[in-house]
Amino acid sequence: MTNKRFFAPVLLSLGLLASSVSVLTTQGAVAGAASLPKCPLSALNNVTAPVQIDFWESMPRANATEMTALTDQFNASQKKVHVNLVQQGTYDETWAKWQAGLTTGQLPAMAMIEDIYQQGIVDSRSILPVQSCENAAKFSTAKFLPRILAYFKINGIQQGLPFNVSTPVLYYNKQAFQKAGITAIPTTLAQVSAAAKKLKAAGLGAFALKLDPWYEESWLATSNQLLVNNNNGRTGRASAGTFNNSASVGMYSTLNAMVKSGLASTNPYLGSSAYDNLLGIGSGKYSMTIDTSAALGTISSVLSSGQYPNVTLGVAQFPSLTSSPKGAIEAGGAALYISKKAPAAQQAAAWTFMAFLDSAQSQADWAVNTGYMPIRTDAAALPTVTSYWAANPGYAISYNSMKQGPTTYASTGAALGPFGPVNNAIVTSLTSMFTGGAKPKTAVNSANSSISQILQSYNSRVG
Amino acid sequence: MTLLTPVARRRSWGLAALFLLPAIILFAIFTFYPFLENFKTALYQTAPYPGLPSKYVGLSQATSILSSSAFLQSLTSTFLFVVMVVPLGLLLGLALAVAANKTIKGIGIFRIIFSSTVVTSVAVGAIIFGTLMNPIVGLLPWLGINPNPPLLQSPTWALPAVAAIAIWQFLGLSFIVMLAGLQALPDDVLEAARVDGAGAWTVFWRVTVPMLSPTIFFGVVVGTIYAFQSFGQIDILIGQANAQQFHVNVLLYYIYQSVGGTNPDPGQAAVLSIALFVIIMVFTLLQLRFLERRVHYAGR
Repeated sequence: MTNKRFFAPVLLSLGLLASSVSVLTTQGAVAGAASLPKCPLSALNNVTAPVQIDFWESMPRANATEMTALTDQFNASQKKVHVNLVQQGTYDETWAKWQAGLTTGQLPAMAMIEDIYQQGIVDSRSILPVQSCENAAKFSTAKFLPRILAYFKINGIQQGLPFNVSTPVLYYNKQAFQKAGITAIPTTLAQVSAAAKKLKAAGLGAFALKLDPWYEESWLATSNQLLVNNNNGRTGRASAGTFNNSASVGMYSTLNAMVKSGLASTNPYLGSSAYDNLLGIGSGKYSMTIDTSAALGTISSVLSSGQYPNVTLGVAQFPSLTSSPKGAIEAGGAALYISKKAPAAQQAAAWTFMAFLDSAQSQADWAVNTGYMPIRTDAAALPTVTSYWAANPGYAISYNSMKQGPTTYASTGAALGPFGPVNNAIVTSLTSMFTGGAKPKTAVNSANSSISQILQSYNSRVG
Repeated sequence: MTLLTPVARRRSWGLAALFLLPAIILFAIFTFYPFLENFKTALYQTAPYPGLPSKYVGLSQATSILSSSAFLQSLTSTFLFVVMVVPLGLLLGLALAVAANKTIKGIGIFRIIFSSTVVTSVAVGAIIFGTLMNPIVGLLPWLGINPNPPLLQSPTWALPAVAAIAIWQFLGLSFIVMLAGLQALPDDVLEAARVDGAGAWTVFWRVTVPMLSPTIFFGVVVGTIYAFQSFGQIDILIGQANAQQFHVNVLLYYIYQSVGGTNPDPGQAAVLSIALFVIIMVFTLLQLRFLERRVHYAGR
């Protein structure tokens, strides 16, 4: 017992040390393949009538339209599978319904689940890892962007198939930038702050900081810093936070200074005020903000209505924390999962549909209509995409940032069972600093101790 | 009542039990069993996902939850919420009822308007107020009121803002109850007071309010339960991710998050439910014990 207690921290720090230098070469597709359950692809061979499957998804607005278009296209293209699209509301609602389905047995064959619930769906023991089907179908992922694949792997196994992947990007109003005399688009957080200062001095709206912990986590990733131990939870369940590092304190200090000096206003990332940062760009209250690239399709269609003559939208890469980032931006979005409980034919049907959604042409169509990035290089090279990007360079931003930089455990982002509470802990610590007057270092430390506490309680409950 | 023979009495008891049986069965299945089961669940640390094993931990789970800062924060928010909603909701309801308790032409329209929030859904009310308070497109910024952080995003102001919406929602019921109470007051007593030379103010405080006390008492009990159970406004305007950081995580909402959110913890939910049960019970007992004594039931 004493030995264990002594050795654990030593091993842990060794692990951290190793992870900070290692690149994800060990996360090959074959790791753990021996223990994988079978993917019953042959169940579709002899079907006479189309196998009906339900697909739960969470796409809003412009993205929903394209989701329906792709599904219709798939249903019309073959006779073995018919997909019924079920829009379940937000990501959180879909996940809550999936969990409810574990009790009632009302689960679809296939669901789109947000990235942050990846470890959760694995821990719920309710999915057939798509790795099984990739292996059975000899599905090649060679053209996929590696960091995106790595994002949906735990212990080296592909748990869900990435489909709609985005990154945060910087949205700004070109007209406001011009009026304030800003010529260089900010590429670091410090430059965002400097630009906000110029905007404010020119009497224009400054920066809207949506309190989405995804951005704080992305800033850590660009600095190559882990959020939690065990290689961000990628090689074992995370048991403690590693958030209390100097990068976090620097980030909190900058954000705090911006909010306190009136250069930035905040809004929550969930609930009825989640779009206030974007609405504020429309009304002129703000001139720049950070939000998901997946909103680009919807924003463009709103702007094209001509309601906002004072806004010319600019899109730029997510500003990094430092001028020479050691890390890279992590992926965001959702992956497609297959239910373990679904009958064999439905599992095979789900895989067939997934493979269609991740084909180069589907990914190309999806990207140009939504603002999500194509997750494969051959999709990005298709004329659909290249010609669209030439006319609308904003749509290429997140893809380009995902191609840059190293793929490490830090830049891959964390996999956490209780991601919701961990995110809440980060947001709470930010609010305690902005409105409660806590010092940046205190706020970071309190977030980190909450994270560790949340992880330990989760681990003891999940068994 | 005529006296029954022992046989007849026994037969009528049997008949009564038979009639009660359906209700007893329903209550047993849907109320008493879950109620008792809840005490058992509170002793177990439950897995984060359905279908995984739970662990018996005894009272340690309850003590750690009940002593956590999150619970204390939730308790504080709950009491502040009740303290804001009940008295203001009743006072405003009484004021409107007094104003509408007149026999003027067209008063019926005002009565309909004042009581309309009873039939307004919580969701609709919350969205209307949410839009009015929205810092970008709302009424408040248009009026030049633009606090930073905005009302619904401030740890200080979010709770009063939600309470204001709850008061508005409760006003309809409060108005109807008060108006019904006022209209049931016997005119002769009020007339007698006026003949004795009491002014309107004196009549109101010395005669109307004491005679209205059963109604007010009823309003306090109903209002307290309403306030303890407020949920919709918080869920729609603040949401799970923000309830705690903006200090609007009232007990019922905390329970909801523990059982129906994205990270369910039935063991924690059970402990919190028992806490809420005890609090409401104590409140109701206190109200019965202390308030009811001061209630004046006129000779009815």
